[in-house]
Amino acid sequence: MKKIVCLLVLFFLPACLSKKKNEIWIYTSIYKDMVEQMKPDVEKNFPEYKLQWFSAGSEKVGAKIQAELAANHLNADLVMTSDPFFYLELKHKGLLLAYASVNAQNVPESLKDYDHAFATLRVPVVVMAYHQSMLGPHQIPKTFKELTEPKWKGKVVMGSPLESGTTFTAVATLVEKYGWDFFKKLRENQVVPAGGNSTVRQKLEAKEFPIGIILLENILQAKSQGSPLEAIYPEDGAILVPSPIAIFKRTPYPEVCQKIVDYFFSEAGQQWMVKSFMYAANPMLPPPVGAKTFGFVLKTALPWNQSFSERTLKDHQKIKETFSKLMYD
Amino acid sequence: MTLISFLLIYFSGLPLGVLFLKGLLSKTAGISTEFWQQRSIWTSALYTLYLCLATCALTLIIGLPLAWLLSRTDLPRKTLWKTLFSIPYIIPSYIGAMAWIKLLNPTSGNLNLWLMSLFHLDHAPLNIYSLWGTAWVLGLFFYSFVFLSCHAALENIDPSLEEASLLSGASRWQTFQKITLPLISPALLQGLILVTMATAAAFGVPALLAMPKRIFVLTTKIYTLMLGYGDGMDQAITLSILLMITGIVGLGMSHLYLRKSRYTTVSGKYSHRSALPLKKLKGVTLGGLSIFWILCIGLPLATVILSSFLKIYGDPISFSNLSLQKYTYVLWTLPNTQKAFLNSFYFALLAASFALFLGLPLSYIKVRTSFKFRYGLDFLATLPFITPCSVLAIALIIFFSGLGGLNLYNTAWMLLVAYTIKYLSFATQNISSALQQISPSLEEAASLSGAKPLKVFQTILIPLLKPVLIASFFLVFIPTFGELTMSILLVGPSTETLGTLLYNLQSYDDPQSAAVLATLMVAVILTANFMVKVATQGKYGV
Repeated sequence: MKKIVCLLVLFFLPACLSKKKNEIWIYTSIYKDMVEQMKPDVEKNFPEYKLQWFSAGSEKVGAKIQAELAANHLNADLVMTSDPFFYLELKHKGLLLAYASVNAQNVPESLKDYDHAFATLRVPVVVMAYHQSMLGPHQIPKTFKELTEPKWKGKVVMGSPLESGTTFTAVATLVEKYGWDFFKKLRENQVVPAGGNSTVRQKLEAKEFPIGIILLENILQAKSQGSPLEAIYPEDGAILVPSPIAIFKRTPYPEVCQKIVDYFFSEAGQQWMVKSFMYAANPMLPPPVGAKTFGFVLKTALPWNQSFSERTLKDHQKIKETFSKLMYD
Repeated sequence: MTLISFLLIYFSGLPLGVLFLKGLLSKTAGISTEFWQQRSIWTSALYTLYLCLATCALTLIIGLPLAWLLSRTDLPRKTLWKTLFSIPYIIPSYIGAMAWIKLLNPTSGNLNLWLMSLFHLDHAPLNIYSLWGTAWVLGLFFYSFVFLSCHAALENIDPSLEEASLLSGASRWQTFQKITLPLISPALLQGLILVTMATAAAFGVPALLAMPKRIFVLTTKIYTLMLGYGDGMDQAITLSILLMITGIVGLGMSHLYLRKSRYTTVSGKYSHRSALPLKKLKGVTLGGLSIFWILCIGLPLATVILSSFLKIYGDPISFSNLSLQKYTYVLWTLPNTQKAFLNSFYFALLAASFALFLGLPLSYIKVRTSFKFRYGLDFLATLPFITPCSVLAIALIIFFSGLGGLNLYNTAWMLLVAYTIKYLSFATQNISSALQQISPSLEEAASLSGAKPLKVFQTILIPLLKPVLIASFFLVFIPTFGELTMSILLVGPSTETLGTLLYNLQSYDDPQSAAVLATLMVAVILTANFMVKVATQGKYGV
């Protein structure tokens, strides 16, 4: 028995002692492929430090951070996900280190926190999409509003705000714009909210539905893989999902983290966002391949502002509940 | 005994205990009456119950006859059939669900379209997006529990008991009813309890198939709660306590049932069993089995494999729409695929071994000793299984990032602990039911002849339990090999697994790439199984 205990201790000992120095943890929702591609370029700027990446969906990153907080053992130094409200929550908890990067000067003020606790690094947008072999380019809906017409009954698929952060932002924005009546009508039109953006893409590709509400980047990526889906830029405005970057106060290396933030706002850093089919927050950069310009999108999109995002964070539970009641009960 | 208790309390009891306390004491969840008054919570509990009942019925209908056919009759190529019928368990369940969506969705499901043109229907006759659809897919995935445990039990029964019944003039059916069924009932019951708990804890399939129909079960409800900011986590944790109660009820029922009667059947006097000749029925049985296999396993499997070769997911299968590009992408373009395969393989191998090493003594304590807390230990071994994966992962993060004395965060140990405790009950349930069938007189005889306890284990129990040990190893190995939900939250920088890869493909890439990975996984597992069988001349393997 004693031998077994000794063996176990021996096995676990290295695990306890493995507190490494010079490690910087970046938690991100940027696609793993993209992280792998940009890794060498980021890391060559910080040869002294070991950058460690954790990449998963925004929801998973959020859950991981919450769990670490509950354990009183926050491990992340930097976070960059696509859930704007999460950053406000972190800020309110006093966890973020304020920093105004010089390189972020070009980023529109509305996309930055008043107190510089975080700033938008990239802007995914929610649009509509259709399957080209199911609908012709003249038959497609032109606005989100149009989806409430009887014509589109049983033809529209969207993600669920209960499952996907971007869909939550989309729902909050549409409610801000059209009120809950919009979703009441979508329900009457048998819109089924399920899963996240990948689910919507899959249901479109499998021809279960001709039209979907989905992130533009998913459609651009699908197209690059030869998929027959095509994006529709709604005339009543695409939905912005500002995706910030922030530094945690706990980091032992604040200066290095600030330099990393600088890097991400530099042209070299911003181009990775464009390569991941998202709009860079710096308007000087070109749009992603196959997309219309950011200026075009901003013209009609509901402008982002912090009071909207404060309100949404406060009401998030109510928004989800109302949505569930309207769409699921 | 102390070691086992310590390990279980430390790795399962404490992390979950800490988490549950946190949830229960929370003002917005556990001790808030408002939280418990929400109707949606109780509806989801009710749906969980329905789903469990339906899945159990299905697994019983499939698993039991199959086990009987493959162990009692002279059906040719039994081992081949056994492998063939183990395939659904190898395919990750949500990929199976994706295949069934492709076959049976109401607008473009291939099988639905075919049925519509065959019978000139206006509407799709079947809809996979329903509680029935969910139960169907889960049932096809979980019947392995019933099948494997019943099969192992049938192989262990002393044939003379059945022969005696037949010689006394009872018919085959009477013999089955009066002799065989009662004898294998512990195994059957344990199988069904596993099915119930696995169904209650399942997340992927109900998320894909029931949520679009606005049907929430407990796990999907917990998931949606967890995504909330602020109090969401506490509410999710509190709700998992409802699931825990399912576990307690299940275990309690099995203890009550098993305590009433003794099921010793393996007693040392062993005679050779003669297989029941099927004679004229052989053709019919073979035909029936083949049709069933093709419809329920072959078709979705073919869908998964074909999807992996498609260029465009929704387009019909034609030469111009087929290519190997997804394979080159997954195997060579994606970084870490090969490493993820190796990692997952080692982790699954280790986790399955740990589960056996812990599960065997644990079952022994539960069945053979009168240790005061033996049911408590059994409960601790079952608790992680009934806890939703994401909640379990969070419990482990909180406890093992220093709080519990060990810091396993971001190491491979974290994953190993998670996998082992999550699937430990597969091993304990199966081994206990098998142990129940073995007469203690064998062990007594051995110790009377001077064998030390370890020797008794080695020479008596392990050889007798071999089929069930192999089955348990398989039952733990497979789900850990492709485990997704816990792995995502627990992986460290160098411990990437197939699950995280699968998650990436599923959430950022196309369904075809996920199908590629699933096909590769099935291929790897079948090849490994085949090689083990050849190397051990058929002694090991499923």
